[in-house]
Amino acid sequence: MSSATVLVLAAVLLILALAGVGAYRLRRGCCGNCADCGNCRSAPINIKEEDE
Amino acid sequence: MKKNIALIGNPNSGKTTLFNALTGGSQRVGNWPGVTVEKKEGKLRQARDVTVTDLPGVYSLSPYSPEEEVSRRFLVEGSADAVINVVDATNLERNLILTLQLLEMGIPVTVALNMSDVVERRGDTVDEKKLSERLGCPVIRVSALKREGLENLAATVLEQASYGTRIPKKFFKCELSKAISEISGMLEGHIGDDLLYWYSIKVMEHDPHVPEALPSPVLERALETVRRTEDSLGDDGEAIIASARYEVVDSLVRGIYQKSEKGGKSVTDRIDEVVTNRWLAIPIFAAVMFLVYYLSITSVGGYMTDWVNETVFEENVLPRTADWLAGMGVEDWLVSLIVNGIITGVGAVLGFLPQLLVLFLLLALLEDSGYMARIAFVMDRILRRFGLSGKSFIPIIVGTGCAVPGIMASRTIEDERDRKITAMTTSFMPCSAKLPVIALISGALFGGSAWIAVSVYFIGVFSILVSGVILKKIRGAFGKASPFVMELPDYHVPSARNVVLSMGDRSWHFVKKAGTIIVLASGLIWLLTSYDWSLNPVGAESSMLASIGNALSPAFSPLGWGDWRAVVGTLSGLVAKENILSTFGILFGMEAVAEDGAEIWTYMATIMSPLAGFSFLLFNMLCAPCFAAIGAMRRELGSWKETALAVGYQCAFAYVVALAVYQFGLAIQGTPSFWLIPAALLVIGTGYLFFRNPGEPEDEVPAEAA
Repeated sequence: MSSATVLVLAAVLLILALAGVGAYRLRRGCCGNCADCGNCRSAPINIKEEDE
Repeated sequence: MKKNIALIGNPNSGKTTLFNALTGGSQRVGNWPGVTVEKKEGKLRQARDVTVTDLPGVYSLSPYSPEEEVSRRFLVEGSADAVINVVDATNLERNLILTLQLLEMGIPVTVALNMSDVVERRGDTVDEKKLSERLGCPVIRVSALKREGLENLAATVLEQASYGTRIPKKFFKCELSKAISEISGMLEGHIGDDLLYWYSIKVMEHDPHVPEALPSPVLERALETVRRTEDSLGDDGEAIIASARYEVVDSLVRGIYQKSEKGGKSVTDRIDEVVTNRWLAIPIFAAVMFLVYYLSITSVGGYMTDWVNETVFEENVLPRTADWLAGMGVEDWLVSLIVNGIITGVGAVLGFLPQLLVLFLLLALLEDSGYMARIAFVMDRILRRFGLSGKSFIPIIVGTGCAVPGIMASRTIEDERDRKITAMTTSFMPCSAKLPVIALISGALFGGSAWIAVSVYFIGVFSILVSGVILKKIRGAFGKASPFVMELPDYHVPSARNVVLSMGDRSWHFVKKAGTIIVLASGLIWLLTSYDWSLNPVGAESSMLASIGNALSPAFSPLGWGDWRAVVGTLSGLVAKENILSTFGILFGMEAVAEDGAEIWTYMATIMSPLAGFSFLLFNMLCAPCFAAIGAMRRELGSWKETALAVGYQCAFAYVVALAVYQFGLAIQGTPSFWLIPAALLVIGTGYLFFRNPGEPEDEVPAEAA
């Protein structure tokens, strides 16, 4: 495997890992106003806690 | 100085707009009630150590709706040092009912007299100084939309928050006042001094939460006083308090609100005569939605999308990246993963962003101008005939952007069954993730006709109506239509800020999904498309994905699209509907790029006929939504069992619709198949579920527009 392949593969794996983290943040519980907790600038509410 | 300021007011009084203006936040605002279904927090611009909490819109502090519960609990628990009560100056009397209740709690209240500019425009006047004297609290004239009066409001509320004591204002007189004082005496020692007066009123109102806060002997004695007062005044406690409040408000506003002598109909009244007209409202709505989809899919948005797909991705990004990576000596399989997998998959989705930008812009203009609020009111007349409340249409409007907030917006519906049915059916509407799929099918198989998008929109509405009736009858709740009262705001020129925020929020969400979920899914689809089960590199036709698609394709053949690529496209759409695009992009894009660079979407036409394409579109629009929406449904329905039933119903309904459309379509074309018989039987079965025991709706309460 050439060094270019290793470097590019590392970059792709990093992108996939970041995408995974982003996907998780995007999918966690939200307050419903914008369905966008990952970018929420106003302290997202933990729905589970509220429900309890 | 850490302080908490709560923002509270009637639904649609402009709280969220004021919240955004005070905090610099970008919470979504909407021209209908229920935009804020949970409390939101932000920091005051003028003092970053001061937290501002935007509470859901309420008409009272009685715990009858989820919004009232949230707002009331926040205030009773003493979480707020001061309150900004957002009062719609154009509906002063009704808004002040809540103001009285806040003042009865003793919390320092600052009244933000919002929409004062609208009052001025009408030629009316409000004497806020006199109102402040009568209420015993500061009244500040503001316009949240134009950001006027905000500095004064912030300074006043901060001063109020520094007082630190609760002094209830007492507005009631004579016998009622004496009875409340008597009850207060009985509650002393059992309720904190600061809420003593408020709890005494709640005892008088037979508030359902009072028994939790008081020992039964004390409550029993207090209720003796309540019964005596009820006998004396000839009404029940809740009605006595309510009419006393109306009397107080009536005397408060006397001489304060001066109506213009110009009279006549306002511009809003004249527009409403046409757009909410019994006969014209729905055709006008259909025409408006046609224009929206025509502009976003076919004309402006279509040209931009074509340019991004063809010029940006196919002619530049893909070949240049492939050349660059190959030039560096990167191995072929990795070049293929990046170019044919990730970039093609993400590009296939992002290519539709221009169309979505136009759609989001037009929807934001309709929402902010006040038109969509009228549609909820107009739809109430239709929904009521199906035993549903017009309130169910608010989540449907919200769900046109994304099903998740649409499903969450169903919380504003008081009736539990209506709420659950709305949460189960909201995802039938074409959300932003489904729009690219619509654009793909209409572009590839119908020459880019805007009618496809419009028909899917109205089939979504129709499916909600039909499913509402079926599910209500299954749950034995048909006929009980919840009342729907909503304020129709004046029409106004949409605020550029609100429109850009709404468009930006929705588009950014779409882009982030492309950069996260679609990147992951594209990598996975590339892997499944490029290798067989022994991980040997193979062509797509022998890949793992092909074997999965082929195994499932018999189930979808009666719908007209048994091709394995269409089947795996549908499967991948369960994660996020945009995945259908990235899957097709990867499956067809490789061939297109390898050959002559022709537009990848033309390959769609090779695997399905226009009729099968429409059936494919309908199935994907109506079947189980993406995982995020299923998660939101789980939260609203309260159990996985009900969620599984809901998803099962959606898939079954989608299957019946797609099967019926394809098989009846074939019959009309003169080529019926065996599957026409099962299709006809399923349609008859659905018709039976819809029409059985048709009873006249009980408890019918018409919508009221204030």
